[in-house]
Amino acid sequence: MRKIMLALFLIVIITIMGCGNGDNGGNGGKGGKGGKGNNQANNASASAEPSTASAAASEAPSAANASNPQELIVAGPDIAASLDPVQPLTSSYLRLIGAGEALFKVNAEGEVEPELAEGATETDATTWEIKLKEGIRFWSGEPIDADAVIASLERSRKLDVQALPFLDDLRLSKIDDRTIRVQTTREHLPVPLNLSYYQTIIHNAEAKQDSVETMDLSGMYKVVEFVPKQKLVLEANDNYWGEKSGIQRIVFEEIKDEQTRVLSSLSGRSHVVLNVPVTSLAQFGGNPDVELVSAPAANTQTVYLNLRQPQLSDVKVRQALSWGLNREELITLAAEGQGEPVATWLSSNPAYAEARNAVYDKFDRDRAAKLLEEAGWSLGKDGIRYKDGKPLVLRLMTWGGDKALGEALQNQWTQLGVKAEVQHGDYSLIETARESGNWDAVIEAWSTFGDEFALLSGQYSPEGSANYGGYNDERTNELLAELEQASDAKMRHELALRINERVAEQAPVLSLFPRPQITAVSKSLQGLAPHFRQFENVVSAKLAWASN
Amino acid sequence: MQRMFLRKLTGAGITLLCATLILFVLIRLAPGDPVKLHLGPSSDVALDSTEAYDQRVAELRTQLGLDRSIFAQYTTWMKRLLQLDLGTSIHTGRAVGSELADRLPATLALAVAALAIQLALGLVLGTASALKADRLQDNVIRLACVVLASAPAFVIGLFLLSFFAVSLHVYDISNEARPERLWLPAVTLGAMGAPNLIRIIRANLLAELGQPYVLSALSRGLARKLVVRHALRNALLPVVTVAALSFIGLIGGAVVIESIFSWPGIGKYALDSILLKDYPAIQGYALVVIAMVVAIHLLVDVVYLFLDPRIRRGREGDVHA
Repeated sequence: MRKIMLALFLIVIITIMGCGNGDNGGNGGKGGKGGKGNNQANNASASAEPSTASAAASEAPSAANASNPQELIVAGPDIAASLDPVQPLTSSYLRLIGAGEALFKVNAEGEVEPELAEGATETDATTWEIKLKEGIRFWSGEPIDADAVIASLERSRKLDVQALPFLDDLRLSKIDDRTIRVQTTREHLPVPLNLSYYQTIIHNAEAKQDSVETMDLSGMYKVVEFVPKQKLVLEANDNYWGEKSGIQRIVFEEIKDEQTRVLSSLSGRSHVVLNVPVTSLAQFGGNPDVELVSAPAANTQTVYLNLRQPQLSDVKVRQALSWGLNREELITLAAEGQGEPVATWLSSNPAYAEARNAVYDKFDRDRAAKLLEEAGWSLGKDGIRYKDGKPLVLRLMTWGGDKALGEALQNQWTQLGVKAEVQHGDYSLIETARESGNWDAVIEAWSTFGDEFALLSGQYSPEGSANYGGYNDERTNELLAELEQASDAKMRHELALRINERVAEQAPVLSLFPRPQITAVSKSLQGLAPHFRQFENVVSAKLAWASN
Repeated sequence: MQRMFLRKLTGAGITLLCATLILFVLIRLAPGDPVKLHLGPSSDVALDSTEAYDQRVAELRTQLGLDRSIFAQYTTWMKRLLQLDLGTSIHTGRAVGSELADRLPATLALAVAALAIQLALGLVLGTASALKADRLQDNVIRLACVVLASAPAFVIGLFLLSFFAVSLHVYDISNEARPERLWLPAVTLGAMGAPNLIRIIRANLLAELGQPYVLSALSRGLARKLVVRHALRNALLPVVTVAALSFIGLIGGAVVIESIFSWPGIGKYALDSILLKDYPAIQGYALVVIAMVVAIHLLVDVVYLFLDPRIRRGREGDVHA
């Protein structure tokens, strides 16, 4: 008995001893001291003026960095499961963290800028010539020439299904070592835009991209350690061809639980925390060490309706569902006020912000009720609308963080006389329901940034992969055909707006607001700018420690 | 004795086989296509045609053998198992065996530490509660037990994480299994599992203290401390079973705590795999956990034989008869 008690006592003591060693070893040493540094900052700021608090906050990480200078800790809900850029989503993580680069990139204003390319020229309606920058090299020192770029893009086309929308219409050939000819199957395809997506990052196709030792990319940071789905450690690439960041080492960690990620930011351990949930915004209130970077993402929270269901095949019912939405209230209830309402799908794209209030310019419940009456749905004594004795039922399927949004929609539609039901669950349930056709409405948010024709045909052409509800409108199809042929940028813009408006009128989908995108950034860090595609724009040469 | 052990071992093998078969079928009946979940949506820009995407899905499905019948898939898996190969994760492309081996030490360390805390709390507080039955100390301990047993794991976990990491800055929120990060999830799990043990030890000890041999020993002038020690020893036998069951629960069911504390154990691995419908990973995890459960049950039976002479004598009697 005594021996058992002694053994238990020893185990408990050994476990509890960890309590005192919070700042020992590896990253923990940095994190632990970072935490203490920030604690000092908190203490200082408690009695100081805001400006002093800010100064103390910026000093805290420099104290932390004294033990392990230049290490930046980024926490996200997911990191790569593989190092190979052609594996699903790997290239987005590699770009986010500064390891991977494409030929072009998109700045925060939505303009396409050269990255590995020096520039591109459209020589005729179906041909582009891309000139590569001089002296660019992979981590291994191998030159990034026309052959290497073509081999990389061909590998992505062959192995990465997510690269298909950007590469499928392109045929690449070499003009000389620094010039590539791109021929397109469609006229006036915006090739630089296509080659700016993370799915097209340039990697050495000759190298085995399956280990830290053999992978070969071109970014300013090299991967030095990798634990799948756990962490990615990177160090500055000393031979980088371009402008370098002052930060020497980056640790990119996967912290799946969103509350834990928030606490990691508040504790001072993580300098950058991605995908902060809107429900946690209040926790950051008054914290002098962290600031929130919020840029509305260029994707629209959208309710996709199943037009094959009898009650939704009537355009008046769909329009009524849209008129009956108080989008401002939805943003307050489901996104903590983070965002602006958008009544049309394309308008979360900064270039189409003008269409934000098109068609459904205000919340109008009376108009919605009138449309439902016209469609034959009369209000019953129980507050539900009926037609031929059948109630107007709408089953809305939600997943992930959209439960609150689903419930807010349910509340608004119920006031309209719609018997709305919310079914929250795994995305697999939605996929299964869509395959069987047994669904009424689902919430999804696709990107609204990119080539207008690709975007709109993917959503609203009869074969579009996101046309879940079976929308097939003759006028929309005609406009899409015109857009495909349009050569002039202004005309493309005009046509895209007309399609966007036509779709809003027909209401196969109901647009709500851009998905909030919030990043928590330690004030010890400078240079992280808001970007509508923040998930691939975190690490750049502009990042620096505030005290440097 | 040997025959009995052999019988139990055979039973354990059959249990393991049946469990794997049921599990293999059940996870395939759950909605969701592992290949589509692995590939993700066709892209962040929707495609104007899904032909190439569908073709890639079909290719990958064939490559992974998912287009074959469940029976054929099960046979292949069993053949691999016989070669000690748990298969390859769809999502990471790595061997499931090595992924589990990488994470199992973290889970075992957490489970052992949490169990030790549970036992320590159970013994100390359970004994104190019994010895001071219906007095203030007993009531406080019982109230604490109710609170700990009824609070959800994520509430206690997040509260402790916030207090120690954000307010006190003595805990490091990362996702590494370092010894200095073990204490907080272990304390959380240990404290949450302790009420059960406290209540069992209290009830058993109270029952023992009411036995005639205790009263007889006390009336003959034996020291109370010595008598309590003897009574406690007798009260502890059921604790072996409870502790073993608790250990099993800690290994297989610490998913929430591992997720909240970002502790890279097999629980978190299982959760990620389930969300991605990564069949080989889920099967591998379940097989390892079921094997551990069966092994621990077997071990408890053997330990009982040594701890309780009545059982041993009974078995011997059976054999001789």
